[in-house]
Amino acid sequence: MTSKDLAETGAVTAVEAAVPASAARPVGRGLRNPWVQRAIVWGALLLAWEVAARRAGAFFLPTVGSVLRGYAAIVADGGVWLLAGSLRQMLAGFALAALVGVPLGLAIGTFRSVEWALGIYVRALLVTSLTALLPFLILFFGTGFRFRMSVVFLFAIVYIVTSTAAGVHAVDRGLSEMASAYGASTLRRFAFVTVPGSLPFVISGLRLGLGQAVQGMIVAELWVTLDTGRRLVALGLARELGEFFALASLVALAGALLTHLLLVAQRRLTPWQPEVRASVGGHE
Amino acid sequence: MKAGAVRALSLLAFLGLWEWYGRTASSFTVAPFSAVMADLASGIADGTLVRAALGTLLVAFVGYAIAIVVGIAVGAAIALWDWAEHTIEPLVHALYATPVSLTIPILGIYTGLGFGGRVTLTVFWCVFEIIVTTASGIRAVPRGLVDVGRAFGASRARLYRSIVLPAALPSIALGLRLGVGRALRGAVTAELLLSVVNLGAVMVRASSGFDVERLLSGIVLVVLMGLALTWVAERVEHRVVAHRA
Repeated sequence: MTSKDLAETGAVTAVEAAVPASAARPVGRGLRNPWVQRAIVWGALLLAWEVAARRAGAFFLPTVGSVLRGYAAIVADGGVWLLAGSLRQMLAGFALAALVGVPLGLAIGTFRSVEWALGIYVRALLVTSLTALLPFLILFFGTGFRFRMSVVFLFAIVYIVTSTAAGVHAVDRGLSEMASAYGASTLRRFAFVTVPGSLPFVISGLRLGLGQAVQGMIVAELWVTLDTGRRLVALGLARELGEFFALASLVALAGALLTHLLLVAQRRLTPWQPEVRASVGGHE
Repeated sequence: MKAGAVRALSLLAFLGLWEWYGRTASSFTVAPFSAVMADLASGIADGTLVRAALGTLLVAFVGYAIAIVVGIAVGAAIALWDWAEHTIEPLVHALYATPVSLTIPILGIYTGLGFGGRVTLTVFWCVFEIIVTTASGIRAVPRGLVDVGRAFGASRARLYRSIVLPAALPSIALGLRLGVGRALRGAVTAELLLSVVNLGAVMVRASSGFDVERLLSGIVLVVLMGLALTWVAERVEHRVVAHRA
């Protein structure tokens, strides 16, 4: 893997992070007010959905009301606990990916020989369809906890490693040189310059990895039809579409919530991050 | 040169380990590397794997093409039109954060389980990446360039064609490059989880028949296809960006 590939994930992270740029704009009045526009367009979409659902029938599209009743049904029939169990397993796999991925990314970013030796595998995983590994992993691990954990692990670790390594590359050269000029040992420099400097990228990588981990969880559970995945398949087959949409949106919401927690952690842990980003950008 | 040597050594060590582990008696789930290569060669020679791979690639390319058209159109709309920015962009971000695999159990209801369904899943898998990079690329076009163009009396169409598009191209090209890999991923996922055909069928059949060699050669083929497509996309991206500079 070349540093260009590492920069690629950095670029994605930057793209992802740079999106809410319009927040500073003054709020317009009337039709220029974003919330008025949203009320009109989203209201129209919701209305179109409802009309389409009533025309197509419950067999094809659930009405808004039946999705709302679906949420109640999920709470009543224990779907919530099913989802919580799936998420707990997912988090176990994700934690393992973070424990392995962050040190590995730091090593790949710091030592060029490690990058030469291991970069090819990270790159191969980055461009490969990990779903293709499912039939193999199942032969290797069986259908139990270890299977699902390994799928989540593989889905998550790729992004954690690449983003962390990109973070090490993005650490300000001048800071590193100043630290050595003041006589800091390699270890000290690593602990006080490299690690904090790459922290924003580490957390970005964790966020991307967590999103992928949820994807991996669903794919693995659909493959072996267990827990939440099994419930989703059953709801789809029974055409209980209201409850299906409710459960699917809960999975997505849970994923978004967990990812958001990492964003909060990012702001807390690296309050200097905008400066880092600006200075990194300034060198380009 | 040193980098190449380390890489070659690492690859040799990996393949050697694979070969050794595959030959130990206890490892019935892993076939030795040499056996997998032999199987891959015979699968390519008798056309089974080639046909399967071409089928997968067709789904990936059709889905990718649709995603390019839709992605660039929606991305441009988001960047240029405040209604789209305020109403569509939040939806795009919500969907971008949603695991696409959630749609698999009900996708068949709307698209059928055939070619159309697999293409649809592929589109979902890669379109959001293209929307987001297109929008951020167009937003990042320097205002000054547009102002100069306007000062020289360029028409609206001319402004978009000669200034906005070239300036946004590197970011769009990045989205298109990442999109290729995602399209292939979407196609393979569709063939394993939506309807079992092409490479998906090869792997599912191999795994249920415990044909470990064929299973691993399918996986090796998928990895090689991913690497090759990304390599091509990188070349194209270099062209596009170099031409600009």
